[in-house]
Amino acid sequence: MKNKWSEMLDTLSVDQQFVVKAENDAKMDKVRRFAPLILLVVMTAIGAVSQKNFFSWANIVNIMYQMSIPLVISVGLSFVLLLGSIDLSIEGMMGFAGSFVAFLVANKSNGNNFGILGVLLVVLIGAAVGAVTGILHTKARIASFIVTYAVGSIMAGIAVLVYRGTPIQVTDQMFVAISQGKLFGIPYITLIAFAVFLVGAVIMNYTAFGRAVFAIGDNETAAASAGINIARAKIKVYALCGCTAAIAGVLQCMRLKLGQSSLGTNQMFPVVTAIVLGGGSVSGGKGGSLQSFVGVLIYAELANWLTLMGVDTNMKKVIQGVIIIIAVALTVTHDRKTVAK
Amino acid sequence: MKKKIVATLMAAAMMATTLVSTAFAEGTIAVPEGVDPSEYHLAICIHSMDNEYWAQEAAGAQLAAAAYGVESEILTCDSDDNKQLQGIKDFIAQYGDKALFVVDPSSTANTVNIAEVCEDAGVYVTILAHRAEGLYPADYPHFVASLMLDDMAIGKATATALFESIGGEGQVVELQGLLGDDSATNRHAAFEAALADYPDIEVVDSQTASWSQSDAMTLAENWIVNYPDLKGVFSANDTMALGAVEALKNAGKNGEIKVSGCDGIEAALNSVKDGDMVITNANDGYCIAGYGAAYSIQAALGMLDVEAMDAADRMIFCKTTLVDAENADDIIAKFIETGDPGYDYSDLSACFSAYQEAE
Amino acid sequence: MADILFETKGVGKIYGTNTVLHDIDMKIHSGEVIGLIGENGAGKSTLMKLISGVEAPSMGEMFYMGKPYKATSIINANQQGIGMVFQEQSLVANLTIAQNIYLGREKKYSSAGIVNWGRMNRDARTALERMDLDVDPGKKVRDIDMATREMVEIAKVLDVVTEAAEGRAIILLDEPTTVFSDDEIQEMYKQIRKMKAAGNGIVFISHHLDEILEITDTIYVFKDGEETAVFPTKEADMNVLYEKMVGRSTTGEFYVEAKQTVPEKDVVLKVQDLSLFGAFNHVSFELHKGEVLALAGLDGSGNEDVCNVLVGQEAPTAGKILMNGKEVRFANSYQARKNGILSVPKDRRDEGMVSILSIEDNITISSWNHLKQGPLLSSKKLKAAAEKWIKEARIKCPGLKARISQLSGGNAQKVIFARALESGCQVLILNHPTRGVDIGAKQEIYRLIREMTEQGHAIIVLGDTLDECLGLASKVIVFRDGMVSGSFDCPVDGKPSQQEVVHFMM
Repeated sequence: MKNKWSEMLDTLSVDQQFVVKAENDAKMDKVRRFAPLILLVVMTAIGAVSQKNFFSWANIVNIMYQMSIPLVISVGLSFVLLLGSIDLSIEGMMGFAGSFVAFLVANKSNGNNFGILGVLLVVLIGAAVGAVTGILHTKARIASFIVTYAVGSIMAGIAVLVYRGTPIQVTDQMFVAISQGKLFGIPYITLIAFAVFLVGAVIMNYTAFGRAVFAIGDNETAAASAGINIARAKIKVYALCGCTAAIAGVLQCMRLKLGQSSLGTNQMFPVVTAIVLGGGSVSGGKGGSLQSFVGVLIYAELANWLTLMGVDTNMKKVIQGVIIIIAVALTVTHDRKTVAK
Repeated sequence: MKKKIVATLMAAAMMATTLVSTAFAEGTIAVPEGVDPSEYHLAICIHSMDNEYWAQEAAGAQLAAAAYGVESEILTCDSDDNKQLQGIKDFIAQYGDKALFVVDPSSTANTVNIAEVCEDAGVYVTILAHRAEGLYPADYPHFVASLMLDDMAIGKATATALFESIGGEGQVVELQGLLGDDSATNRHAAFEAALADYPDIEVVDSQTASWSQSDAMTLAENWIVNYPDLKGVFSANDTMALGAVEALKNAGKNGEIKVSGCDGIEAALNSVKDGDMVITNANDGYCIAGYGAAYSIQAALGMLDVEAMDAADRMIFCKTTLVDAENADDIIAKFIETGDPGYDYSDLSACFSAYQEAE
Repeated sequence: MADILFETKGVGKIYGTNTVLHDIDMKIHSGEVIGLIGENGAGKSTLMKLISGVEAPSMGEMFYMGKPYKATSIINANQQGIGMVFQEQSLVANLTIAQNIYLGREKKYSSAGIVNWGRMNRDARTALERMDLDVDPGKKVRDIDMATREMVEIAKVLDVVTEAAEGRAIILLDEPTTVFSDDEIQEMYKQIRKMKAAGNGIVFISHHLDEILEITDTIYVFKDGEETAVFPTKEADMNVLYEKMVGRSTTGEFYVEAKQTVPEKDVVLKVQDLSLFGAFNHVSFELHKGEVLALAGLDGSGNEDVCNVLVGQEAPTAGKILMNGKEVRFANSYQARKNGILSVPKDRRDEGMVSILSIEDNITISSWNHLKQGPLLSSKKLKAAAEKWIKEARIKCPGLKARISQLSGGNAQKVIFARALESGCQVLILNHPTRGVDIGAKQEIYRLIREMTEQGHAIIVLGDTLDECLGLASKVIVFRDGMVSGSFDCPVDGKPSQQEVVHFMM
C-alpha cells in the first residue's frame, strides 16, 4: 500500500504529520465546497453554448419561475437535512396549504374572500402543524420519517376534505396579480421566494438557533453536553419547515389557480436532490442555505436545459439520474469512517 | 391512530353525500306489474368521492336508481382490489338476490373477479370503463354489459378539433400522461392517429407531465420561449391543459396559442367558456354510470332479457360530449350547476356510441 | 519451567505524542496463568490490544512459539492461536449462540451459500461442552443471562484458538468476572485451570486482587504504561500489590499545588442520599465555592454515573440535588447548564467537539444566548470571547475561524474548557480532563483548573489516576461497587498517600 503520505512517514514526526493531514483535510474541504459552484458554472456554460434561447431574458425568467417554489421548500428542508432527519410531510402540507388557501380567498366554489388574512392563516397553520410534528418527534420519540409521513398523509387527507373532489378555482385578484406580475422583469413569485430564502439564510447563519442546528447535526451528543436545548431546536426546525412548506403550497396555488391536494405531488424529492447537489448531506451536519440555493439553481437549470434540448422524456429521466449520481459522488466525503446508508 | 381519525372523518363526509343524494324523486319509470323496485338495492362501486369524475359517476347512477325507484348506496374502494371485492361480497351478503351492481373497477384485472363473484351469487352487474382481455359478458348470464369510453375516438376528436382551430397547420406540442398508464398510452396513440390526417401539423416536442398541472406549466413555460411560432398544445387531460393555460396567461398568450384537454373537469369547462382552452371532452359520468346502472336495474326487475341479448349489444362504447365555446355554457349548466343532465334512463340505447371491437 | 509460548520484548505504543505503553517484557509459559494488574489507564488493555491484533505496536518485538509474531487483525490473531475475550461483550444479541461462535467462520458449514445449521449447532454443542456449559446452541444470545453470555464468549474464543493451536494457544481474559456471582467465579476458576492443564497460556486481568492471588501463577504490575514489578504469585500479598500499583507519587509542583485554594464556606452544590438504581446508592456530599472535589474509583464503581445524574443525562431513582440551597431537577444537560452545571465530557472527539464548527463557535457554543445583538448573534462579541480565551488558555490554533478538528488533543481540550468557563457556570464537572493528552498539555490543564477555582468555580473531577485525584483535589471521595467507601480531605500540606486511599477502591 503506497499513497501520497508514504514518503513523508519517516521525514516528519507524528505531530507534524497530524498538522499536514489537518491542513490537507481543510484544503480538500474547500475544494468540495466549491465543487457545486463549479458545476453550476459548467452547467450554465453548456446551456449557453448548446441553446441560443438559454440566455434569453424570457428563459431566465422561466428559470426564476421554476426555481421559486423549490427554493422556498429548500429553506425549511435544509434545516431538517442539517439535523440528519427528513420531513416527508412537505408534499401533504403543500397540498393542504394550496387547497385551504384556495378555499379561503376569492374562488368559484364559495363566497369566501379573506385575501391576505387567509394566506397568513394557512402559513400559521403550517408552522403550528410543523411544531406539533417536532413535538411528536422529540417528546414521543417517533422516528422523523415515520411521524412526518403520518402527518403528511393527514394533511393530504384534510386537503381533499376541504374541496370534496372538485378542485377549487381561485379568482382572487391578488393571486392573479402576484402570479403574473413582475418587478424590474423579475416575477413577484421569485421575489417572494428570494425574500423567504434571505430570512432563512439569516436564521441559519446569524442566530444561535441556526448554529445550534449545525452543532446538533454534526454531533448531537456534543451539542447536548454543551448544554444546547436539543428538543427545542428540533421543534423549531420542524415548525420552520412546516411554515415554508405552507408558503410553497400557497405559491403553487398562486401559480396554478387551482386548489387541490396534488399541488404537492413530487415536490419534495427533487429538492432533496438539489440540496445534496449543492453540497448538503442527508446524514446531517453538512450544507447550508447558500449551498441549497446553488443546488436548487443547478437542478432548475438542468431541467430547463433538457426541455429546451427537446430530449426524449425517458432519456431525460436517465440523464437526470446519471448527473445526480455523478455530482453527489464527486461532492461527498470519501472518508472510510463515513458510513453510507 | 391519526390516520384512523381522518379515515373516520372521510367516511362521515361520504355518508353525508350518500344521505343527501338518496332523497330523489322516486319511480318516474314504469316497472313490470307485481315488482316492487324499492326492494332492490343498487351498489355504486367507485374508487372514491374525491375526484370530480367519480363523483359524477356516483351522481349519475343515483339519478338512474331514483328514476326506477331502486334504493342505492355508494361503495368506495380507494383503488384497492381487495377492498372493492370485499365490499361487493358484503353487499351481497346483506341483500341476497335483491342486490345489484354498477362497478367502476379498481383495476382492469379485478374485472374478472367481480364478474365471477356476481355470477356465483346470481346478481346482476354492469362493469364500466375497463374489461380484462378475454372477459366477455356473453359468457356470464349475470354480467349484463361492459360499458367503456372510446379513448381512441375521444383523443382523435379533441386532437382534430385542436388542429382545425389552428387552421390545420403549424407547430404543436403534446403533453402526455403518466408513462405506462393505459389512458396515457391510448390518448397518445389517438393523437398520432389524428396527426396522420394533418400533414402540415409539425409536432415540435412531446413530453410527459405525468398528469400533473405543475409539471405541465413548467414544460409549457419552456416551450413558449423555445418555440415562438407555437400554435397549439395537445394535452392528454384537463389538469395538464390547465397548467399550460396558466403558463400562457403569464406570457399573455392565452387564447392565442390553442390548448386542448380531455375529461371535462369543472375548471376546464370554465376555461373553454373563457376562451383559454379551445376544446375538451366531457367524459360524462352521468351517462356511462347512469345507463350502466339502468342496464343492471332493468335486468334485475325483469325488463331486460339478458340471455336473449346480442353479444355485441353487451359490449359498447358510451357517448361523451365534446365541449367547445359554443356548448360550454349549456354543459356547465347541465353537469355542474343543476347536477342533472336530464337523461332518460329508461331508454338504454340513448348512451350508445359504438360497438367495442371484438378482440 | 515449561516452554515459553509467547514473549514480548520492549513492546510499546504511542498515540500521537503520548506514550501509553513503554518497554514491556512479558513471558507466557505453557500452562501458566498470568495476572495483570494496575490502575485505570496503566496500559493493561493496550497491551492486550497489541497481542490480540486490534492494534500494532509502535516499538518492540513479539514472539509466538519462538517465531516473530505479528497480527494484522483479531481474526488473523485467532488463526494463529491467540484469542481475546473483551471487557465489553462482543456477542451479537439477535443471533443464536452457535451463529455467534462461528460468526465469520460459517464457510466450513456452507455449501453453495446454504449454511447447514444442524451441523453448526452440533459443533457448537461440543464447543460449549468443552466449557461444561449446558445451553441450547440454537438459543438467541439475547435470551440468555449475562454470566452465561460471558461463558459463551470464552467458549467461542477457546474454540477458535483451539482449532488453530490446540494446547499451545494464548487466551487473554480482560476482567471476565465483573458479571459473575461467587459460585460462577468458582466455575470460572475451574475452566481456567482446565485450559491451563491443557497447556495453554492465559493472561487474566482483574481489579479484584483476591482473584489474582487465587488463580494466577505470576503477577505483572503496570503503572503509567510501564511494567513496575513481576513476581511469582506465591510471593505476593495484598499490601505489596497495592504499593507496586500506585508507585511513587508525583511532586506537588506537577499539580500546581501552590495554587490550590482553600474552599470557601458557601455550599454551591449539595447532594443528599442520591441513588441511581443499578449504578450507585446513597451518595451524599457537599461542594463548596472554589473547591476541587475528586470522585475516585475504578471503572464501574459509580463515580461516573453520579456525574451523569448531575448533568441531567440520567434521572436519579432517589435523593435530592440542591444548587445554592434550592432543590433542582434536570431532564437534560440544557437544564443543568441553565442551573449552572456544565460538564466536560470524557470522550472529547465524540462527545465534546462539534467538528464542523469553528474554534470560535466551539468556545462560545454554551454562551450563545448571551452573545447576542438583538435576535442575532453578535460576531463582535463572539470574536472577543474567543480571542480572550485563546489568549488566557494559550490555545495554539491557526485562527478563530479554523475548524476545531484541526487542533491537537491538548488544544482541543483547552477549547472545551474555555467553553465551560465562558458559559459562566458555577459547577464544572471534568470527566477525565487529561486523558490522551501529553505531559505539557496536562500541566496547562492543571494550571487552568487552579485559575478556575481562584475565580470561584466549584469543580468535580473524575481523575485519570488516583495520583491525579489526590494532587488536584482538596477533597477526595472514593467509590467502590456503587457506594462511597471513603472520604479524604486533601489540604496542600497534608495529602493522604495513595496507599492509604487505594485500599478503599479495591
